[in-house]
Amino acid sequence: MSRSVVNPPGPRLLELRLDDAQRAFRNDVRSFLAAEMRNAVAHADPRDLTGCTLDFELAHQRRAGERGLLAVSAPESHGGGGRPPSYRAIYTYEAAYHDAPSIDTAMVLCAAPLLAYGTPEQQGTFLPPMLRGELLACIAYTEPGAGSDLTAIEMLAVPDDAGGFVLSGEKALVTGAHKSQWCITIARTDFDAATRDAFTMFLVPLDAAGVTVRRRPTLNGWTLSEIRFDDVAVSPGAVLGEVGRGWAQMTTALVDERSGLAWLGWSTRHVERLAAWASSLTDLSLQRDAVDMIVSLHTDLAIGLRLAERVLEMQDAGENVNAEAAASKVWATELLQRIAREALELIGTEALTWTPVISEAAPVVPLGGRIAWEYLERIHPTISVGANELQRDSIARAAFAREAAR
Amino acid sequence: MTRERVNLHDLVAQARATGARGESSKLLTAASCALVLDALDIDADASFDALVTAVASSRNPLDESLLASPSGRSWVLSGEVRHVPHGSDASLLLTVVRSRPFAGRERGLRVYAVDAQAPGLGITPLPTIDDDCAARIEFNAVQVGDERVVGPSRDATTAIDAALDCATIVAVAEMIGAADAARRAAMSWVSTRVQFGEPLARRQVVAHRVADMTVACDAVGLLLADALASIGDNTGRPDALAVATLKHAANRLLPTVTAHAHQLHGGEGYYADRPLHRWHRRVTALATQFGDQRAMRARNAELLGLPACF
Repeated sequence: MSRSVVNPPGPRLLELRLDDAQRAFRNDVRSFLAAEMRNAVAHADPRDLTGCTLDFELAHQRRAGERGLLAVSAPESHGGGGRPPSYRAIYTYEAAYHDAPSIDTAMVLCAAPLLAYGTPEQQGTFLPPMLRGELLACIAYTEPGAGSDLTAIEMLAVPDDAGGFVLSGEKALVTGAHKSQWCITIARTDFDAATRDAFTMFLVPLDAAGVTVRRRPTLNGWTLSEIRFDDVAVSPGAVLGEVGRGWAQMTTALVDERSGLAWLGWSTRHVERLAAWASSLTDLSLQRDAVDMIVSLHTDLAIGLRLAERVLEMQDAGENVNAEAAASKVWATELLQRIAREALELIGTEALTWTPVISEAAPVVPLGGRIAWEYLERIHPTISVGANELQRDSIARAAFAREAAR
Repeated sequence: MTRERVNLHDLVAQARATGARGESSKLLTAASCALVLDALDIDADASFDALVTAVASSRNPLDESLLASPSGRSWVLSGEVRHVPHGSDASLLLTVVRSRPFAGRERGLRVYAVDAQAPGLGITPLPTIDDDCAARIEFNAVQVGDERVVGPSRDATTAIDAALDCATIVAVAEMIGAADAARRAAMSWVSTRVQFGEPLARRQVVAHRVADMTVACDAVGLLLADALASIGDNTGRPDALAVATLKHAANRLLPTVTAHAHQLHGGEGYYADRPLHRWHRRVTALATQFGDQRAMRARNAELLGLPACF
């Protein structure tokens, strides 16, 4: 990424550093998403994580797919845009900024393992509809007994006579399973082996016999899902990658989710909303406290952007980003929490009014009731995609390793 | 312009190394003087044979604690600067002063070269937590001739702002050098210090403090690179918001890093023969200079276009 800084006139925040081509892409994405979300409130569904109805989400993803936005960083050989990973990150940042229902798409969640480990046949089946935004898929890795400790995964995959497997077990905390056609999951294929040789990844249709998807409400009104696999028979073609290599495949795929651009997109928008609110205040004492808070949040946002850019630059250069992505994840998720907490503390009772994302803004209250929804919503990012405790473990490990190598 | 310009990248590298050594140094004061003179197109060696050792700065437009009034072919400086690093051992004070409001066509920010022996100047050495020969300097109607105005006689706000923004970057570079050295010393300590049968570093609570210190140092380092990269090819000036964000972040994050380093070092780190306190003192002192946290909040608010309520 280039090092130029944009200086538009008037109020401005520090932005993602972009080169000319990236900025052109960003502007294109911005105008697309702004138009997409203009009447989104008519399609609100607070029971879904996106806040939108399934029809609206699918129509939106198809339009994004037609423009090549969902697959901008997928290889050209698979019909993608062939741009570096930073382009997909820019899209995610803008999608979050606009509250668009294209964050946890099949492309975002499932493309990396499919591209890296899928057979030509699997890629031919899944990638084209994913690129077009026509296929919804989810990832089902963790389990009730596992949480962030994926070594504790217990789901079994027992070989059958036909070269396939029979899956039995339960997956938890799955985003979007209720609306997905497929999931990527992981199960134990070797009970005696060490972790690195014990697991295998599978591509499973959610309408297969023995699969039960149960929606379970989260504390913020939308639902996650739990998936039960009761002796689900899958064909040999359901194996994703190599039998016994699932652990390495999964950990590689997960790093990809941590650069933090969605969290920063939401944060940017909230700081802007808070700045507009602060400018409208007539209570000068409150205004002064608000400006104090916003300046400090903005500095943390700037740090978040720089930490994420470091990950993107390294990813574009093909480098290992484990510790850097961990730093970006920790910073961005904790910033998002801090924004909601400090805004709620400052605004007081008026900030308790709760309005889900996309839904009609509550009248009168600051930010239309978004703060309360954020306050509850942002409990989970510091837990998901590897709890921040694990991220700090890997940041510290890398720091000590660097010292030892000096 | 044939004069050799001050190289900010060199100053930043020197400042990081100085901070890491944790030793008392005039580098920052000298760098500030050089940057101010450079911005005013003055070659320090040619114009001043005296040792230039201190910058007494009062550039905040709302700060009227030191003001200059025109008086015939000279100026009268009245007021005080409460904290001038190296103010007590300076022979010459580069004094950045705004002219008194309503001073007609003479209004503006200028730099005055004030001799430390000038009549009316009261220099009170201050014993601070940083070993930097600081002083409080009172200006009791100090007369300064027009010829002692450094650079152009007109308002030099733009050039001085740019120079002090560059000096702010150098100050943060020294802070990072010090904070990162403290972080590394603490990491080395917890790697070998055995408590309850194992090195401290094995404990997650210790490792997580190290993680936070590492992210803090990295974060300020990335903002510093950003501020340096924002320097325009033509103007030679850094982006004001990038600098203000940098200093605000450094003030907030880096004193915490050196404080954490003390906590990890335990009682041993409290002894004066250990270097830890040098880094903690320096980082803390620099967090109050070139814009303390209150000033940086106001500056950032202004640059972000937020309501002016400071």
